[in-house]
Amino acid sequence: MLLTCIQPKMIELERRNPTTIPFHSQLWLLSAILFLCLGCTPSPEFRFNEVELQIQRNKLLEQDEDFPDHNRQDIATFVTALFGTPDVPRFPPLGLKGEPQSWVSLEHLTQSAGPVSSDRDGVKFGLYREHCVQCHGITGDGRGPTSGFLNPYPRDFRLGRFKFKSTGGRAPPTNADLKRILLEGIPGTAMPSFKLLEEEQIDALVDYVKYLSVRGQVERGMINELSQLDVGGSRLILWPVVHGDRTTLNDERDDSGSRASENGEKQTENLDADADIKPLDEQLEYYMDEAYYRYLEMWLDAENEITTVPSPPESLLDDPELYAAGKALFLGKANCAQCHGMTGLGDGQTANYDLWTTHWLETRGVKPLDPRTHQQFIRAGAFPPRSMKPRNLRLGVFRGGNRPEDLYRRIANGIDGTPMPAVSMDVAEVWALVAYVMRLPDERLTEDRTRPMPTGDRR
Amino acid sequence: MPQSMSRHADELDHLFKEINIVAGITLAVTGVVLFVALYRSSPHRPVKFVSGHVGLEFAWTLIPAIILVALAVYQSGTWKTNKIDFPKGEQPIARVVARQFDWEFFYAGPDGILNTVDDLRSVNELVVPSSEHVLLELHSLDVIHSFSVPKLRIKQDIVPGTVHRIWFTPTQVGKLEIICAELCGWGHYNMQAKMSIVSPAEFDRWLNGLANNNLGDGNLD
Amino acid sequence: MELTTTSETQHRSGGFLSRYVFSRDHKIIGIQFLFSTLIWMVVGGLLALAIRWQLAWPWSDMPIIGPWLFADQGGQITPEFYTVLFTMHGTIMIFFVVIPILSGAFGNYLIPLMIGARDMAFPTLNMLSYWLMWPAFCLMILAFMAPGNGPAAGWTAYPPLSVIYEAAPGSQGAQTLWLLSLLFVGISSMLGAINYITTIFQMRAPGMKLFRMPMTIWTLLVTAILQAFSLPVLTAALLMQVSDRQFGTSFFIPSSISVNNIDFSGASGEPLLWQHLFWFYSHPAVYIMILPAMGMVSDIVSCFARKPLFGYRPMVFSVLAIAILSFVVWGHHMFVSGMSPYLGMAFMISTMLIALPSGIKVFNWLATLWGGQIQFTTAMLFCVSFILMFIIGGLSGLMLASSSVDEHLHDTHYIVAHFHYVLFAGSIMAVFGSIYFWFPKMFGRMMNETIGKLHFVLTFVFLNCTFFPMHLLGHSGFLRRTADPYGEAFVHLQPLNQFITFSAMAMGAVQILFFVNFAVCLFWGKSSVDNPWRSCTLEWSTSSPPPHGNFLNRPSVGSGPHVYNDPTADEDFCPQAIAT
Repeated sequence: MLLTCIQPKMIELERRNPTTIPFHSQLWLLSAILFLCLGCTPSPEFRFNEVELQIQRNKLLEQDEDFPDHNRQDIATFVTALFGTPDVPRFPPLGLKGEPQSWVSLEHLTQSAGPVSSDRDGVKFGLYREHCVQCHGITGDGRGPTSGFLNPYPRDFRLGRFKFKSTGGRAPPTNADLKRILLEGIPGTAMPSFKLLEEEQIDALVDYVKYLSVRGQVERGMINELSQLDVGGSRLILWPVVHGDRTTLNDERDDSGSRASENGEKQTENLDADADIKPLDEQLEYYMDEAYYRYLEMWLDAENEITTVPSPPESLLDDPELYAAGKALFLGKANCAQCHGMTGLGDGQTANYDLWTTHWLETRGVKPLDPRTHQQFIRAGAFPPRSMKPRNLRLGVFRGGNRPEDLYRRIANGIDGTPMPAVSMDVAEVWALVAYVMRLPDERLTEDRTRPMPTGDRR
Repeated sequence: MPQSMSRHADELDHLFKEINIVAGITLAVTGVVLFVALYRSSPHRPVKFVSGHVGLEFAWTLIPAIILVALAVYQSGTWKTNKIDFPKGEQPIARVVARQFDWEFFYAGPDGILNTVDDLRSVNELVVPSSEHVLLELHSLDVIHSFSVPKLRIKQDIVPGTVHRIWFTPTQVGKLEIICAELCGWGHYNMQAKMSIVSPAEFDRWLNGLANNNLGDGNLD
Repeated sequence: MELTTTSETQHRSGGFLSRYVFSRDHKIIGIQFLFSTLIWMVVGGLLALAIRWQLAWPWSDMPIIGPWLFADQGGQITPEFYTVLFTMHGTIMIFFVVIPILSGAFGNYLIPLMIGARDMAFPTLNMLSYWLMWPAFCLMILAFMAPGNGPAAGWTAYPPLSVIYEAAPGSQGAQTLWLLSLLFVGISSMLGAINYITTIFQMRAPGMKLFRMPMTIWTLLVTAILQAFSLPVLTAALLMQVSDRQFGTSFFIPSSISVNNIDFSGASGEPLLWQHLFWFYSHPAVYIMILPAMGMVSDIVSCFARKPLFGYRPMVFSVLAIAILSFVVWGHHMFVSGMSPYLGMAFMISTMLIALPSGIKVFNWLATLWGGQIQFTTAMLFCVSFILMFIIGGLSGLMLASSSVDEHLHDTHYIVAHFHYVLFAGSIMAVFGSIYFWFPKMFGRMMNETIGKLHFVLTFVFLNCTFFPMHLLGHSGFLRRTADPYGEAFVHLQPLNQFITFSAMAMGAVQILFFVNFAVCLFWGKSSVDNPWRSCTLEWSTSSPPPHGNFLNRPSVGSGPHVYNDPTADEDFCPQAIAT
């Protein structure tokens, strides 16, 4: 039953009259060139998460085990079966568990994926490759051609974690959060604002980012999963499922089951033939559960995780008392100064790394300051680690937004994936901090103040 | 030429047309002379052995000289009003900050003064009222950018470390495009922003909306 | 003559290497320059086609090489590679093609022959000036292959973009290699310039008075003077950029900027300084790139019109006027750069004035053609089209010279159209004409006239189809140097751009005719007589190709360079060399 779900129901939406290039005239010259290159334009593929694989390999090596190559292929094929390719994206329907519900729209995905083109109505396709791929890469791994030169590095979506969002903890961002980032950009980073795009296009890209995130999470989850299972059965079974002819599998499930084990034996003759072979359905369902629904639930649940921001106090920016209270908290209880520095210049402790680096940097045997130990990960596609610089608050430019509520969320929730923690303080204290931080650019660095500090009657 | 939306653009279009006419006439005359010269030549016509003519040389030195100097003087009026005669004593409507690869626009916040902490920030969207003078202050955070609005015929490089000012008088309301016109890196093509010229009343409404968005409206979530 | 014999002996005594590779014979060096620049012209042209591809169909997969270069993205040109493309196209075409083909190839080949000298004043220096191009070539190729794509700050390399690693991250070390490469080009040109000036002043044949020199020599002399005076400024500026990039100085980095989250708070430079220094060289360079073409066109037009050049002396004076004025007009590249508007006004007036001498030259050419017995050889066709194209290019320059109008046209495709009309439709067309004209002298064989004429007609048609619509683009405010210009404002211009791209491809394809013609005739062309065009100037009175040492007997000069159809003479031309 599950197999029938995966295969036939995975709709491959045809594009609406796609014209790769709007040729108004078919000049012989161009046709000749096109003819020449027809044979040699490969369609791009998602890049495998080699960094995660390397992490798991290292772990397995400690137990004198190896991560078999066919597992790597299994995962790649399985993920491709679930999510399609950069040209033809797809995703398994949700109907298997609970009510059918759409977490992204296939139409949006199709509009974002594929090569850049537009149809006869002027609807643009290939949005991701037009606007995002330079930095975030075709896989959403933050490793586009330009990425290595940017500071900070572009976001790797595959961990499914985002910094600037309205939800707390590790919860994924809401659609509105992603949309805001796309519209406003992230000041102080290379992420520009895409306000010039049509709203429909922004929505499509938001969905595509979610799609790439979930795809990355599933892939990563499976690498994790497969490296933790015992040697034997499970691995063997996945092999025929994803490599066998699925049309036949659907019709003659019993046959396929037996053929599966045959193929499995062929592939790994040295392994125990009596391994506990679970029925195929169970196997797949297990992976769908583990690798797909688990992550999807988090995304679907994001709307419920939004941190509410209580109303700010009156005259947030013009209240000297609030300002003083905030300053005391900054230097004292809230411990902001430890990283951001006594003067808010971001010159405190700086030897921290963000999650997208630590997830491989903290594996055993890797030392942050010894580039030789990084080599295996750099080769696998990781960037040379860069320590995080705490924000210079005196610039008056905040990456997550300059609104009081943005700052409130940053302080109350912390910033996911970074050393910035969530503070445990009451609402008034948080607002006091917000008031202080927002006024920081105004404060003189030295005590010799020639400009009066904010008072109630500034204007 | 794209639609013209400011007084300066109108002037410039006239100027363009006039120089175009001068150039067109010159091209037509020289082109015809060249064509006729080629057409009537034949290997059998006897050639007049001349190596120059003082009168002709003087004629085609002086006449173009006069035309060129006249053009130069004539067009400098536009240059002067636009670049030298700034409206005096007016505060810029907005501060334009260019960075790789975004346009940021800052308006005076509740305190009514530009360049203070409560400035309102808008990314890639500039709105100006259709008042008599619209002044803008241009900054760059990193490399040289160029503030270019084709419909206003305005182009001003923004050199980092220097504050530039531009001004114009809108003649109609509507939507425009801001583009970066100086190569500023790989994302140069992406440095585009929306701009609109609106009536003063609408401008105030928009600014209020921006203030609510920027400072929080107190009724969140 | 004794001198000739010495050089002949020297030459014969050497092996193949010293005879044809490390030769000190100006003719070999000239031909070496010619071949190198023609190869670079192909490279530059291919880069241009890649640029056109992106402009016609942005982000579409690049044919053939796309999937190979940009496999990660499915074969589209990346924006940083696009910036590299136009940077390299500009640099190669200007520094490796137009300048060296005019003053390197033709300057070297023609100067001693046309003034009746046996070689350059400093043959070894001459050889050095060619071989200094090779480090430049190698560094440029290295820059292209350096990590991160290549230099991406445009050929004008405006700082801070060009001096801060983080600002143009793709360029990394490539930008420094690019700067060093240009340093070598500069040194090479400077050596050449010194050599030319000395040779022309010191080694003219008896009777070759200054005012009997062909226009080619006059323009090459002025070009050499321009190079000698303006290149030191560029060299210094390049070194300052290298130092900014590599040694942490801040000549061009302003204070308190932050690029890619790296603060430059300690810097205190001025980005506009570079623009002033750069254009102080690069505006004279514009004339370095056109004056020799004008000179060669003057001589060729006079020869094929079978008429003396009309107004020889005014022509010479106008060249000198251009030389002087070209040093005071650099600011017209910077009308919108934010320099003082008063300066803008001054530069606007001087720019208007420099149009004058160019105008005088055009009028004199027309008067030369008027009433001549015009022979429509391929060389002549190219030269006549040069005149027409130069008129168009010059008149669009008028629009750009007006500082107010320039505010709208600056950095749009209008300027692209303007300088391609002057440089491609102008200089390169003149170069083609000159190659057809002097090919018999260089190699003793004729090029095929039929293919040549076909080459001319097709090039002429397609170049106008390519570059004229760019005026319209620029007129609409369509910017240059943007990888994807089709925002809301310009989306309607895409079909026009596709038309331009088709024309450009066709134009590129047509050049195959030229290269085939060139290569085939090099070996199998019809043998040429010594003076196939019945031209007056001195180089035609020796054999084709000339022997080492150029003239078996040193010639004496008895008349001007353009004595055609003198009623008192027996023939329709009177060679400069007095028959002995």
